[in-house]
Amino acid sequence: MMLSTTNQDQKALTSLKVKNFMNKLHKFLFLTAISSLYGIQTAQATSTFQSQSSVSISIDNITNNTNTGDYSSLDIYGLFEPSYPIKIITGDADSNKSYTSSEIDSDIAAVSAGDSFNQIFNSSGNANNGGNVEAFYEALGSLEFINNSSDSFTIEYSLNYILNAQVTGDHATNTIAIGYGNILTDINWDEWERGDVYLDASASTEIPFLNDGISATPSFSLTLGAFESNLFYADVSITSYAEALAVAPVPAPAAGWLMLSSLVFLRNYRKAG
Amino acid sequence: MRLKILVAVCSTLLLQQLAYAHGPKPTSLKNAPLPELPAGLIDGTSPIIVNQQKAIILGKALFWDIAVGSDGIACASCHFHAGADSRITNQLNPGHKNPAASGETFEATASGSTGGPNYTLTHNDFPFHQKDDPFNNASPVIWNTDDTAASSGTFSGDYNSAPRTGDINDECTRDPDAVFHVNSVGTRRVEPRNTPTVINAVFNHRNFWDGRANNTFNGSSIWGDRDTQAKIWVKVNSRKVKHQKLALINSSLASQALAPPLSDAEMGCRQRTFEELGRKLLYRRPLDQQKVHHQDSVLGGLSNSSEGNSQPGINTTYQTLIKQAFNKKYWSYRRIGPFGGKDGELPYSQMEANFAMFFGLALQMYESTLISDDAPFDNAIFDDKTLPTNLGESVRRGALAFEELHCNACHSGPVLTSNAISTNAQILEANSQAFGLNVDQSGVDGVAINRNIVNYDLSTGSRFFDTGFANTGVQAANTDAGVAGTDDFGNPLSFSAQYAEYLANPSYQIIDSLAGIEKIKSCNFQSLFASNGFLPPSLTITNYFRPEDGIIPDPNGNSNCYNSSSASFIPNQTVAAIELANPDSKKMSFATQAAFKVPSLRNIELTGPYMHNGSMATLEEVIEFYARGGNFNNEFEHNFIAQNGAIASNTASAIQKRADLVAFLKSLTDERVRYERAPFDHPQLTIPHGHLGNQTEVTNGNPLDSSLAIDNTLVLDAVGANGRETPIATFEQLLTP
Repeated sequence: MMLSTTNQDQKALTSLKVKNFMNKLHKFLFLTAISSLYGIQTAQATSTFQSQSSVSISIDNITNNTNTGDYSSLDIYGLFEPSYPIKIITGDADSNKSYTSSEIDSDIAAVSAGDSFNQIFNSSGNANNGGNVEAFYEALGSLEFINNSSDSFTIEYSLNYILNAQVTGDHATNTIAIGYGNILTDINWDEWERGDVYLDASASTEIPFLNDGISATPSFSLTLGAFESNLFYADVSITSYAEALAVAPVPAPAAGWLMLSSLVFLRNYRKAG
Repeated sequence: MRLKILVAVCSTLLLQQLAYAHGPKPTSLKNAPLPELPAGLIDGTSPIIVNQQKAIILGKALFWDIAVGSDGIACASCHFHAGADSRITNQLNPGHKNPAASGETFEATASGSTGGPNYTLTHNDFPFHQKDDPFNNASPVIWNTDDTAASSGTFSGDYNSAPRTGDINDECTRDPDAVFHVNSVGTRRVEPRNTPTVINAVFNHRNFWDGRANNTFNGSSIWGDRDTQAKIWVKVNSRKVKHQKLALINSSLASQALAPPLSDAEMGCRQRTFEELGRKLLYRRPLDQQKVHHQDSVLGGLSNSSEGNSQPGINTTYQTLIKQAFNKKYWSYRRIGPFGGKDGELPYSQMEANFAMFFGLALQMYESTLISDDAPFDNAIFDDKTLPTNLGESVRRGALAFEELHCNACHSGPVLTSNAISTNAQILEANSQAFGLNVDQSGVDGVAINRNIVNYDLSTGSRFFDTGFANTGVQAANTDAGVAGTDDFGNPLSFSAQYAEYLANPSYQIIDSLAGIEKIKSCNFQSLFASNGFLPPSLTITNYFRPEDGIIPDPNGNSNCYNSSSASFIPNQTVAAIELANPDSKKMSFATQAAFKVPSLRNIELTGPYMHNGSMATLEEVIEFYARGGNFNNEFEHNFIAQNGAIASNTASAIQKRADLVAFLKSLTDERVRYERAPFDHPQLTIPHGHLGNQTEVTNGNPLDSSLAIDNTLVLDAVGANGRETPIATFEQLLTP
């Protein structure tokens, strides 16, 4: 079926469009009036950053390839520990900045198949009226495997992470990063990029489209030879910066005029309607 | 047997003379090979640069961004005009390279003005050295100054910190400069040497007039191997980072790029560091205060502009570009602490600590795209004498005169400089007759194909000199040491000094270990250095080592040799040591004093003023200079710099020949450069160009500090890939009469 419109339809459509437009204009002017009032009272600016993340490490399966079912010679330790220094905060006078971050549980836990352990990393801060705040926050997550025998073990484990970073205000940047991989602790730490993975979520008030919000659940399988040890690490760091301009208030006469003219127009429009 | 040797040596010398008469012919630059990229830069399993196009974007943004300087100076602020600087106001330096007292004081100008800070140059100020008879360098000097025409840069000051957003100016303690001021009002400081073009600079083995931009890039300073503390940070894994050396050959552009941002005459406040510059820039949007053309050949895809709506900035951050361009092992280590920092501030990150490396390599990647190879001469049809046939008779005659007058001895190969060591060698390796003669017929070609970075030439009085550097007698030899100068550690800049020391001292550690000093072939020196032959009395070459002096075969052999095998010798170490210690030595002396980089002549029409001191305004003045045999005869001067009767007069023939030479030089102008078409297009740029007032009075009240003069500015509009509608002017055209 073909649709067609008559002149009458066109007029009705045009009228509808005008009404819609005026409704939108009405709303716009109302908002303008309110926001102009806000302008009178704006005395300082604020910039903020927030980070949220969750990291979980799970042991999914363990197999003794030499003596089936015997796990007595395999030690596994899971740990989230604060880095040193765990956090560094710099910036202007305290009155112009704030910063908070979640605490890290640094208890070492012996884990076995089916176990998992996790950690939440949150941080936030803000700078006000000419102040600035800069913070670095880091925690080290690890799963250490120690084979005390000549047996061979295959261990399957997985990582689950969610990273978020946001900023608001004049100028702020925020990057939350995770790096994970394996290190053969009994050989050396000098080999570059043994499966090292780096990912970050970042936000910046300068560029609105930086990536924010990443998550994944990579899984791994590791064969541990006789008397070998190995460490899987999953480290999270957050680097944040906020700087707030000292903004002079909008001149009251200008803001007041804008509010007044908007309200007068609204009143007249309603009368005419 | 003796007769055979005699014949061989005489033949060699005859061939030498033949070669002097002709030498390498100018050729097209089209399809000429670039210097070989260093291993591991873009190839291998873990290259430094993982995305070349992003690195070029990063480099172009950094090159043109006024936020890079401490007070609004971009790299491009002095390289905006055919890659060079055509400003005419506040461009005088008192001659800071001159150790004499006059190097600290401004002098009057030839036009009768007081000169000095904020002076506007006029045509009558040039040349800076004038003879009563411009074609006779023995005639009375009627004007001379050691002041130089260069580029104004920063007000400088003592660095404190830098904002990370908004304001582009660093926070520095600024006061009027002790030298650069008018009355008590501070003016912008001016470089001591003329700004060379960045176009085709990728071909230079070493950059800067004195070659101090090392061919080897170490990632954190301009000094290559010489800087033993220079290292970069490499991530091993999330919990380990190591400090290791970097040595990238053929990366003089990257070395060069690290000087201006920290120079208190060019772009930076004193004590500024690249870590601080990184912290200032990383989260910024590139070119945030400069419009970017929507058709910019590199940045257009990221620009905020559209047709008829030009907007500032590009849609990314410097940090993002670094992540995209460079291997993550140089920036992804998130922990802090190993990289140092300033009290009261967050320690530097790995990305900040390696910012010098990113900066240098990105600039090099961008500048490597600035290749001008589309001049009329590049597209000419050549006859069997390798002379252009379709560019007019004057150009043809000029090209011939260019050879006859031996300009080609230094301005050799398609880049027209013997400093293009790698490119010239690669071309000759592919075709030993590429420059007209075989490599064993032309001393210049013989040096080039073997990449001899040092030469030893009869024409300099049997002295060592660095290939690609020459003393032409522009200034008195003690005015500016040039490549005979030293680095920040007290080591000689010249390869010649290192080679001589290498011959004389068995335990000598070569400073530029990757330069190839140990591979120099004596048989390729243009004059005999050591020989087991003998010379007939009619030939007066006496200053060479003979068997009775104590010579040994040159371990580097005699393949591709210019001189015969009888010249493939070097003095033994004992003899070399004795001779080197002899202050009156005639066999192991140097012609490096006041020798400067031989510049390319491409686009020379557009890159005035000329010479390392900017002392000549027109090509005609340059030709006059060479016609009279230079300004200052000195013992280090290249022998080809001598009065030449063919052009040193006002006879019709000489006038015509000089005009022909200029016509030939103008055939080297690439119209893409003249009209700023891709790859020579650019973002908008506002450049300080003198100050409000003149050389006798300026207006204070600069927003940076009230004691500093208010800037006048020159605004370049953003230009897209199709270039501008009107051509850029020559320096001469910009000068007031």
